[in-house]
Amino acid sequence: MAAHRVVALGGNRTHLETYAREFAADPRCELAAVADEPGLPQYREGLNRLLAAELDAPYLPLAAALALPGVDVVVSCVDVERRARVAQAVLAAGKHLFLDKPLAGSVADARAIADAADAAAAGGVVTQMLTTVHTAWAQDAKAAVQSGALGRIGAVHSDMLMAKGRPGTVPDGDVRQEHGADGAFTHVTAKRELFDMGVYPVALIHWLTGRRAVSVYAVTGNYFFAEHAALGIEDYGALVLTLDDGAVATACCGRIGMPCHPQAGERRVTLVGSEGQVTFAGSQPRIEIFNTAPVVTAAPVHPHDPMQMWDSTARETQPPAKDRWITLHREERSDIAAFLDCIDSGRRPEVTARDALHHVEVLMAGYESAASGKPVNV
Amino acid sequence: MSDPADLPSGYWQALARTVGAAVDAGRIGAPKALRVTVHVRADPAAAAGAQEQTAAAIRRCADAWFGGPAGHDYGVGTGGRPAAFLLRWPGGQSALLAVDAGRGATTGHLMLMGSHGSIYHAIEPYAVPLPPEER
Repeated sequence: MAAHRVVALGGNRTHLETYAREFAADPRCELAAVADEPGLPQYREGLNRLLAAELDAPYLPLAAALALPGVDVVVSCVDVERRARVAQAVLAAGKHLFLDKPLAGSVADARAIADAADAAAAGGVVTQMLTTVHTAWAQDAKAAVQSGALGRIGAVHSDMLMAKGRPGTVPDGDVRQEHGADGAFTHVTAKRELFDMGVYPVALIHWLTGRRAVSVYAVTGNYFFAEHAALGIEDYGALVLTLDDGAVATACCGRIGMPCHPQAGERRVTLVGSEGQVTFAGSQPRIEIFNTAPVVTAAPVHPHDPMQMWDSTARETQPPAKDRWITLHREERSDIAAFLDCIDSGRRPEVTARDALHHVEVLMAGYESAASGKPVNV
Repeated sequence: MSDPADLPSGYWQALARTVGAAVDAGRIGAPKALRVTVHVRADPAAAAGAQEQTAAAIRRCADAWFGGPAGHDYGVGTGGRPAAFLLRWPGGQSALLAVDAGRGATTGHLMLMGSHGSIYHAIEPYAVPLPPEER
């Protein structure tokens, strides 16, 4: 019998497609149900039920799923706008909670989750949000900081640029006028990329330095995709942060298109210390292969997923593999395995809900800055 | 002011010309976003000057690739401490630049992202002799 019974919240065309399968594959877990709030739009509930069917799990209302015997772990990928309400219910029920990123779509919602997580932690409940901190290259960066060899860290620069979607479709002359965060983050065809990709470098910088940002200056753009422009949301963002010890951090994030990088995208961090500087990247070290196989420049576009966000749509379109750059194999603990390790050991996760609140504070300050053209205090 | 020890100004001119040719040939569509992270080797006494000169050289590249000077300019870090600049052009393009100077070998990374493609460049010590007009 597995040690943990897991309820998975959400469905297809969310990251639950991946997370639920990883929980189910872990020998410490068994999947008890897929669930969500009742009364959802037909589109969302249909996709939730589809994932439940694919996983051979029952689909239940949230309260019924939380009441199932033996359930102690919940993974939540519900719509951003509903994350606070759902997380509070899960934590009030005393369940360990693995959270999709970003934590929430507003500082108020993020704070509500963090407060609920802190209250539940008194009873031993563990929370963790997905980030890149468990990747081999991020772990190497952390080891470099902790070694002290770099001296005092004066700057950190991190990028997360996803090479998916078909670029070059943004209308000519489109100049983005940022309007700020309006609380709407769930769209079918595209995502707000400062929010969705920017959370990775912001979280990484916070985790590596242990420092909070006190000032944020940001720019957003519509550079690549008509889908983002049509929704009035950005496909690119850039941030300059001043940290509370005076250090500088920068972050570049977005979605640049499938043909625009030989791998999944640019994932890197540079640490600048008083005694030296060093860069770690998801693409390094690597081998590079050039051969007679055709170069991948495009993939079929799924009408419901033009940004190539989901495994379920990729199963239909079958995009060709990007296999010219191959990073040297390194063993690394997945976020979900690390979360389960923390539950089992009582160890504090690397990125808790309380940590993730600060990421939302930075991202929301970024939107405010991009709208006003001025730096914003956090 | 002298050039950074192993990154002469001709390097940036050569880079500007090479990238500019790729842009002009339509290889990446319209240039939209520049990201540069660079550390230049410099003696401590010369670090602030090397940093300032390198930042200026990169900005000249950006101006060339984006077709004119930036309209908005935000920067933090001065006097040899790590510096960062976020620039925005009237046409919406942007450049995020991180520049520092001091101990350790020159190294860095450049990405110029266009509407249809991207240009990547690893910044390394430049020891190739340049013709007199490019020094």
